[in-house]
Amino acid sequence: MKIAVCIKQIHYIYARTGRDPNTHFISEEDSVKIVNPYDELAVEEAIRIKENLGDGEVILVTLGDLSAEKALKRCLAMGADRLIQVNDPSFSQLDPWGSSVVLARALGRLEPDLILCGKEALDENRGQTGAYIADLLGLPYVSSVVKLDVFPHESKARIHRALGKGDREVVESEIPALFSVERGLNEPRYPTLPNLLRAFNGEPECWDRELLGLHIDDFQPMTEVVEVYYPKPRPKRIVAPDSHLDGYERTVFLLSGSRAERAVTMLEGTPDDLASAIVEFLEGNGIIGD
Amino acid sequence: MDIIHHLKVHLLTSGSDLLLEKDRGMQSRIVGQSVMVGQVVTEDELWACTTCHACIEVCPVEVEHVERIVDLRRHLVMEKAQFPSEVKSLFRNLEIYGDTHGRGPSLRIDWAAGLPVKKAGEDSHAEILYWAGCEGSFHDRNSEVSRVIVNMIQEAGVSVGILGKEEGCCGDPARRIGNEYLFRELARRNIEILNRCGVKKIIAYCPHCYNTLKNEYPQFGGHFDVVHYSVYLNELLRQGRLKAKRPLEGRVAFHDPCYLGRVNGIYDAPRDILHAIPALEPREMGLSRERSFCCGAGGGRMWMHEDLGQRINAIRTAEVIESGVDFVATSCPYCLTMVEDGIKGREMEEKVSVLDLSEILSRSLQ
Repeated sequence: MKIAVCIKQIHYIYARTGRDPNTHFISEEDSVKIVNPYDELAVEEAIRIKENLGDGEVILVTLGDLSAEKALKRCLAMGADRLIQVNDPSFSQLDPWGSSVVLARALGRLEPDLILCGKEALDENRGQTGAYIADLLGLPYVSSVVKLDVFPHESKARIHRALGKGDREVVESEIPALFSVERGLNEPRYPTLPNLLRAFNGEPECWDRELLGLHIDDFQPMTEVVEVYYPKPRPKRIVAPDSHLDGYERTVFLLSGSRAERAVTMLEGTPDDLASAIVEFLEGNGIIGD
Repeated sequence: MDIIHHLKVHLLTSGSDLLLEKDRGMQSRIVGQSVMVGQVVTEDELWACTTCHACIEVCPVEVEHVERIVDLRRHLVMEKAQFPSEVKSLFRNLEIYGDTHGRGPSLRIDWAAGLPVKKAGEDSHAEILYWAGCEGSFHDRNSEVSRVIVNMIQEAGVSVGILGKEEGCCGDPARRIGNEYLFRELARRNIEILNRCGVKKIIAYCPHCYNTLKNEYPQFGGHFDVVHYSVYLNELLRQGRLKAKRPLEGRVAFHDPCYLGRVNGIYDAPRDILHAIPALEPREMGLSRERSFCCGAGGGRMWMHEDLGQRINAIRTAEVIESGVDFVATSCPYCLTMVEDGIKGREMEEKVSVLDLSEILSRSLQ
């Protein structure tokens, strides 16, 4: 069984320590170059399917320059067989549609029995590419996969989808198909050192526009990003503390989230005393009649 | 294998029948050079080791068990990628962010906000380089200690530099867990930066960083004068550049960190500091100095679940409470976290306070 996995290299921004509003307060060291974690789940699943069936091929396909080369090769070291880099100078400004056209052409050449990808990338969270590729290749598409069983002899797959809030939907699909995977599907393995070194020493296969037979007009952007901005924190409504309190008390009040402490009266004494005190309380507050 | 060989030699010469029986038992389990892990040593046993070096300390035939255990771990981690699953996130954090907390270089200098420390490289005139380590940079409690140490050194008139965003994990956890490849990568990066900045003298907070920088980096071309802060502060006290004036009443015991005491033989400097403080009554715990008991966090155990046997920090905490002291002093971020957790677990935090050595000294300076 031939399984192709689309993996995306991303700049994951974990902090905003820059001073320049034009760079959205991001400085150079605020991002790390990694492979999209959802795609790593897809790689792991593909390798597990291959191992379970005892035979097959896992091909990783990525688009663009090797910005996270080490992370890509690490995916290869997990147990994949080939790494294909689809790249061309004309691919520099692709929107999700453009990426999908290019990737679909590359995947079409591979003629895989199954295509897996992450449900979205952590850099821009668009989550469109998987669906577009499936459409372009005319394949069934199932998103948010959390459990996957493949039956190659029946050309069928049974999929559990996450519907949110813990609900699951079980779907059956014919294969070849394209599935996008969700967290919870598996836990990606840690590559062994020999595999890692072998992967680091290898070079990915490079496929360019000419090889794919694409014309520049085929992947022109269909959407345009007009503005990217850093949201201001939403103002939070809080009750103003009593101005008669001193500074310390007011600070404590503000930090406590402006919640008033509930008044509690602890009762003590013999069971008889307690019982009559409770009755008195209930009567006094009009909860029970006289 | 050499553990068994040494044992055999020792047992034969000492003529211990009882132990010979055990030896025969071990021998029968390893007939035909079978696999060490799983037959002679179980995986659980292998991962339970905190690399506290107590076994080496008491071994009459000088077997170096810790190195063997780490070797076996190396085989599991690098050849088979087989290790407790919770360690995976530590490895990923070290690979991607270069620190044990996974917070990233951008946030590494937050602990030093407002301190007049110079970034090494920008101004190479700083006399010493303070190596905060991941715990001293990111851990809330331990970064407080970092600030106290730096403040005190500056009070003594010494200018302090830090590597800032370029400092990375020293690699100790990766190496003890057996990920030698990751360790070497981290070590190479740090040595390159330290050499580029022309660093001569390094003051380390964490004994694990201290041990790695001092004893392991020279193999990879990093030759620096590395001093643990307890030794350095003691030196400043002796020279009269710091003066412990204010009396501090109470009984205090020093908990020896394994990588400071047994591994590097530093027992006296921390005790000298405690003795220099007026009115303080230093005591010794039942197990101290060479026979000190581990806090349970070394050898990468800080990042593993402790689901077998008794919790090590709980055992140590019981000893602390038994010794009837008001303060426990330590000089290791792991020990501080573990013993403090233990004391809080026993709800004794109002009776026994767990402090770093530097925090106790700084109270006496003001």
